[in-house]
Amino acid sequence: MASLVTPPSRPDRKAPGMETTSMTDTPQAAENSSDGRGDGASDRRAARWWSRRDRADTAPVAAPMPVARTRAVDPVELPANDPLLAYLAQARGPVLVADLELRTPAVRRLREAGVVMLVPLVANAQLVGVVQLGDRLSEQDYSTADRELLEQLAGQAAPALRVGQLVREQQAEFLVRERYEQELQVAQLIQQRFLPADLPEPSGWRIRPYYRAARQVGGDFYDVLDLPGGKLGLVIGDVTDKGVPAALVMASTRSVLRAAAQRLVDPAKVLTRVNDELVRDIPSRMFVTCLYGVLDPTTGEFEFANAGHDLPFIEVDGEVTELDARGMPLGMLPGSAYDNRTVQLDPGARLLLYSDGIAEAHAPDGEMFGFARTGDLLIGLPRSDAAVDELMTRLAAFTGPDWEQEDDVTVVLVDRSVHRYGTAGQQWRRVFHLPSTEGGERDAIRLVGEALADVELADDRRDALSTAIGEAVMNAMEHAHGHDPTLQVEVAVTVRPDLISVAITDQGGEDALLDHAEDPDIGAKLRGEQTPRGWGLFLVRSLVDEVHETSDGEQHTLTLELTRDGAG
Amino acid sequence: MNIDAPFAVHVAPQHDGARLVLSGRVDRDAEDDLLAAFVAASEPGTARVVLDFGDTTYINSSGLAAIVALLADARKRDIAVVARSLTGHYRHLFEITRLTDLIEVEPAPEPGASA
Repeated sequence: MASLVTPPSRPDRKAPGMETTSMTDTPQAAENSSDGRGDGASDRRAARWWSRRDRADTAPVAAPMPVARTRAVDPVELPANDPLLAYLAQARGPVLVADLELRTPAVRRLREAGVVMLVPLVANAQLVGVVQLGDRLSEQDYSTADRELLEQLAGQAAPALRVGQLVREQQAEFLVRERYEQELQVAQLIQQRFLPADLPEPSGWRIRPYYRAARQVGGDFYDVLDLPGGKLGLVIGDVTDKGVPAALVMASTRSVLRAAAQRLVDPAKVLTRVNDELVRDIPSRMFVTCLYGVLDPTTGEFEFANAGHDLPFIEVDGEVTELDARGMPLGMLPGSAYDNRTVQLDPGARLLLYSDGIAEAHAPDGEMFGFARTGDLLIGLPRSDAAVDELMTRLAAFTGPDWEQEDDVTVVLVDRSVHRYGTAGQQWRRVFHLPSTEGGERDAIRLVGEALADVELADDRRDALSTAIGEAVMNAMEHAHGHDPTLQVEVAVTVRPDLISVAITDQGGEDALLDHAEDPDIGAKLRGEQTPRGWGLFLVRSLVDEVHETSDGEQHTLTLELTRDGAG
Repeated sequence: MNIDAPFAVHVAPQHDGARLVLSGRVDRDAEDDLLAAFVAASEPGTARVVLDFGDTTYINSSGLAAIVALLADARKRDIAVVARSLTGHYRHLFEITRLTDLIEVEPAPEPGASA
């Protein structure tokens, strides 16, 4: 009764398939392949039938197929690292176990199991299986003809077996890949859902985030929270691990932190609370680095605590300083305590919160970007929405275009306007600089509108001022600057208790617009005696209380004034 | 109110002419489309065209110039032009520019009334 093989254990699933297959001939198989009698006569007949002389008449081999009537043996598992396998891979044809000089565990077990003959199945010089045979039932030795037949059988079976192995390996790899892609999508979805779409932005501050996931999504996160008293909570964090587990921990950390931040003002206490919550539930070997701070937009005070996150940088007038605050990552140890630090962000200061995906980015030669370069990113950044793009452009210049991003890259850039201004009721001034582009006047309208949002002013006066500003800025961008985006129009808003003044300055030299402006005549325009255009300055003069024009020979300024008597 | 919303105009035929429903910002970019829509609405027999500003988010001096050009064309075609759903601010602009001499401005709807 033939007993063919069992799979050896193969710790490395990428190694070529070395499989053993059991082909024990069952009574039913014996019946089909001989005369149906399970006695010695049929045994002999089977042996004769599979003789070399008869071989040309036989059908193609198909398993299960009796080779010779042998005693059933329990298949022996052959460890992948047993030297026997290397021996069999080089063997020429069937091998008698009794002839083996190897003294390996596998050989010992084969003998104990009563295995007499081994038939290596070799395809493309790789051992892909081993047929294990017990004694012949006739108790005769295996004949030369038996061995030749077995060798031929092995020669045909091995390639087929290898093909089957390859198909199964490919199927398994496909399933693994498919599952990996699905997990990746889930992780990305969680990440996207939990990163804020809109950030609060107090007047005088520009808060710009940037997040780019690595291919295998990391657990970076950021958040900006509206807190009581007009304060803002700034959060940046990074979960160890990647994929779905990291995304889930990120989501729960963010939720716990949001809840704690609303109840507790003190950043150190917030982190302590989050740690207490996380440490109970977080999977082992996972933790979260997190920096949390509270910004008072009115005073510029930023109080923060740090749970093992990369230290933020501030930049003022080109001087970069690394802020210092240390503490254990969240979820690592119960009872972790944190210290608060405070830094003053004066007008013109910029704060950079970031994740380690930046500092650990690599150049093509393997050099790491590092913390010093990360801090230096702040130097000379434009004071506009282009700042974050510029920051990433500089990083990309270091890493090169073929950078394989190993980790998420996250940044929150906090920029305080260089111009001081205060809250409603006080006298304050704010200045904007806008490139001269078509439609740029709408940016002026929007920015001034935001700056005046808290200023008490009747709706019709507010609308009138908006239109007047739009017309004056459009005039400057179009007529003084010819829509040259390299030339900026300055819009300076001053609010006093009795007056709102908006000064619009261009490089138009000594233009005396007000003196030369032609009063529009609707009748003349209809008759074609005046251009249909030319309403701008007329609207400016009509919509505000006072318009003043000044020039120093290079710069030309129109100042629009609206008294606040009518504030309602 | 999104003052960046692009201009769009939709022509809705009416029994004595047409209604041009304007949306987004009426500025220089709007001029060609506005005048083309007016020409399309000015079939023989058109006596009246309503400019519906209900969805307009922004009008500047270039937009007023476009409306003046439309009014000049309307005058040649002997078509009356009516402004509907102007906000108080833009109604004020029409008044100070004396556009109201040439265009009938419908009174603002009562609060809560549908446009």
